[in-house]
Amino acid sequence: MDLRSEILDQTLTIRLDEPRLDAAIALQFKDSVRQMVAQAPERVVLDIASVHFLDSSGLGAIVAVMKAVGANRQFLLAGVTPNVARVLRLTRMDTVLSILPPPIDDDGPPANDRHGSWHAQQAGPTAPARRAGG
Amino acid sequence: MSQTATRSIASHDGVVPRMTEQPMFHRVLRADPLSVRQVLIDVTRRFGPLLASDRLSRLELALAEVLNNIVEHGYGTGRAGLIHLSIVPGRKGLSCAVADDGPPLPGDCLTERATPLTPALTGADPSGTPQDRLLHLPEGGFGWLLIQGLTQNLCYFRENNRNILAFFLPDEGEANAATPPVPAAAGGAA
Repeated sequence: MDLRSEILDQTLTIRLDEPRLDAAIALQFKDSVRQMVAQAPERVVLDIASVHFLDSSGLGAIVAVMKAVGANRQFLLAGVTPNVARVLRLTRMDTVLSILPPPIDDDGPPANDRHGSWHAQQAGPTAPARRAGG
Repeated sequence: MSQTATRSIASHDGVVPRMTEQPMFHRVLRADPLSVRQVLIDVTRRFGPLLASDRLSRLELALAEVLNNIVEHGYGTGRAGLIHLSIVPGRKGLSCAVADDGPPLPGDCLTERATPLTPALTGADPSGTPQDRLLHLPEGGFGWLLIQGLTQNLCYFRENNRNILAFFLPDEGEANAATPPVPAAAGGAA
């Protein structure tokens, strides 16, 4: 299992470089990441951009990590792919987890104003705040 | 030479393959996580060229939940067992059947389940500290929620000490987001 972490600006970012977060690795993932977050700074970002398949076991492991981070620190999920988003939606865990918006496209305006203020000037005042779906 | 026409059928965008071209998928697998992972990969390879990626992902997720449930609860740790999986492509979706020799399925698995999240846990209830709400979050119970959200016509029966679970995966959208069935009277010829 490929797990990488780095600390920058009081943020521990953990990146899982695996295509699947499923029952086959959920336990190992949970144990490893819980150790990583034990001494974490005030913010923990779990980046699962590589994960294109998440099942209920993997979701349970993410919840366990969120609990390990605790309410006194911030836990954010980043790199949520459409298949992962479906699992979060069907289980309604999207109402509980804090999910970071996708990164800024090279050819488009920032996906979220909060994170793109420095980019907004470049994009110009006529750029739409967000691209229309569908 | 007579097979040329059959092979030229478009095999994407929901065109239902002919029986001769795409027979059912059947596999007997060991009830362990890595065997489940492998059969899911095999299923996506088989149906990948035939289904839009969204449909393929729903198939993979529903099968993963059903199969993992058997691995975890049907046989349990330390008990070897086999799972039979069948998938039959149809006109409006995929019919699936899964059989195992584990203990009977608890009755409440097939009833409509609310999400394990209560209003108190999602923060809608202002009482309780954030840490309390966090520690009470469920880490399981999501599997049947996903199965019910993805499938239609979920049915279970037990025969000769064998569990058989059958369900339908519709081509369009998530099952619980589907429009209600059209009344028979409205379906007349135009």
